[in-house]
Amino acid sequence: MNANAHRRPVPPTGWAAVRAAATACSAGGLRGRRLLGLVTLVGLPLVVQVVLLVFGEGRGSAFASFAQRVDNAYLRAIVPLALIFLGTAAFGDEWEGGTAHYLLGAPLPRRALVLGRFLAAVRRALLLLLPSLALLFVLCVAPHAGALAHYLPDALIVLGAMSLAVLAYTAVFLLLGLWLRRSIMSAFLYVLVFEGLIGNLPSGFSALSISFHARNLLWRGTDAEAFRPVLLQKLGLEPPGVVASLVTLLVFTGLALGAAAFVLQRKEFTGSGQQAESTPGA
Amino acid sequence: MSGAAVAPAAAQPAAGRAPCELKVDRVSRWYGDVLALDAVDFSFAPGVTGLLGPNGAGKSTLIRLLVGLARPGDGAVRLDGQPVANNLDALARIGYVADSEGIYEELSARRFVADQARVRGFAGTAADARAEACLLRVGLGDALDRRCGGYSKGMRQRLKLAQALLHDPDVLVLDEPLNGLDPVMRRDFIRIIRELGDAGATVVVSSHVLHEVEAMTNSIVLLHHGQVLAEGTVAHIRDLLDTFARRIRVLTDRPRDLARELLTHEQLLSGLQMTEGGVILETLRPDRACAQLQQIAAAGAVRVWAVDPLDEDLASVFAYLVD
Repeated sequence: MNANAHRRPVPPTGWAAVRAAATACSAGGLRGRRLLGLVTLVGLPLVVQVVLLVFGEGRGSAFASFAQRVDNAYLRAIVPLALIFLGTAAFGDEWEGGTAHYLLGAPLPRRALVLGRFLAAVRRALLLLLPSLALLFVLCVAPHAGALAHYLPDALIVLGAMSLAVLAYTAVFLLLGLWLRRSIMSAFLYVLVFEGLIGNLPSGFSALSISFHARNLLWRGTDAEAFRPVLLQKLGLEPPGVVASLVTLLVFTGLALGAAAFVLQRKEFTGSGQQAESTPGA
Repeated sequence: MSGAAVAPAAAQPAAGRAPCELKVDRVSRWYGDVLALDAVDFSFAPGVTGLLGPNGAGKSTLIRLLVGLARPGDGAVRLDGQPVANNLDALARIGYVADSEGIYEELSARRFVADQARVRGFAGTAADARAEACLLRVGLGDALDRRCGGYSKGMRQRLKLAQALLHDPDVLVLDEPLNGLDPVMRRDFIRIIRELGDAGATVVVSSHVLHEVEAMTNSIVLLHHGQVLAEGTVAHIRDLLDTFARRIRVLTDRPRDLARELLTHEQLLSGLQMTEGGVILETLRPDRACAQLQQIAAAGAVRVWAVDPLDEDLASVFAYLVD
């Protein structure tokens, strides 16, 4: 039926399709003003720590001070904020830039597009956040003799738990970027209202909070006081175990990606700079 | 007229490429309460076909349906019998040059097109080689490693064409491809498009600039208010317009005498207008009118220097049909 096919390569499938979707046309994600803004954001705690060290105020508490900064700065603010931009941009930039037709017209399964773009965004986020966290760990712990080696396993647990939080946040914000017109605003509302307020209430809602489970993993893994779910314990409630939080974060990630694949499957490109229609027909 | 295949002048497929049929099968599409396409039904045959229509005619909607970026509300767009929407096999055979100026500003042309080549199934260095070959073909050899963000509009058009040619598509859909091109680039673009059509690809070119389409093909589809107003060759469509008077300009040394002679054959005339150096007559029977002009000239009553049909061009045809 298609005699020309012998000259045409077969489009990638499976993992090759995911890789193609991850690399194709996505180099713009971390450049220009956005990169500058994100680097400034993740670098701020490092600058603060250097200043504290210079003035001799950052040497007292070794891992505890690191944990405190991870909780206050990264978990509560920097990670969700950075991922709002990286996650929503995974697809949102394509519609804003009028380039979505390259993606949607590609002979790649839509779920491969979602997974590829997700992995690309996660890679960027980890490249941005993990070196910053590692450097902060060094700045906080190195002044104490022998502390670097002693706390290294705990630091790896922090990096691991934060990576899981990155996975879940990226998936959720990717979904919002694909689904909603005002995705950044919606993502901000999610972080401020749900993660920041409702998710911290000592109720069942906290179980739906990404930061709650990430913090719980950090506490279970490192036993650092900064991560302890104090309010929950005061109310006599038992925080979930490691496996429960681990599974919850992965389920969050999987559900968000599944929903994103569903949304993308129905997505259409209706023109430059426009969000797509989802339902053809009257 | 609906349902018939468009038969472009240069529709003969070249050896090695099987002809494919791109069929728009009773396709309707709404945007909310607005009916953008209304039971559109026709086929694109191999060769170049011009898709014409004023703004809001439904061209862009139809093009997005052709390339699988949107789905019909009713009906289907089919490539060799298979629906295009959500069909990866069909998408693998389609190339698309969008009207949108959106492009990956941070990438070099080489990187952008090579990425697209990988999406199309070229691997490793084959993707790079294919990308370079396509960029050279569209005349971007001097700017391979420049950032796309620094490209002029004409260069962007060429870049978009390069990525659309990567996989040697059976169907190439171009939405306003000549926008922003200088005359030399236009000539090159038109040449490439005609070559693709001559090679047997099904090429659909949307444009609102009629003479540009005429330069690429004689085969057209006219859309208006979401419906196919006419399809076929320009001449064929013109022949359908028997209900419209055609205008013929006659240059002569004695316009008043010619007008007087013509008025004796009133049954041939729908209108007559004196102009500088001649007359413009309107007639529903152009063949008989021309024969009569020959007789008048042969009789020696007036000298006829030239007889020019004024509305055989595509613009006039389109104006007639739309009005």
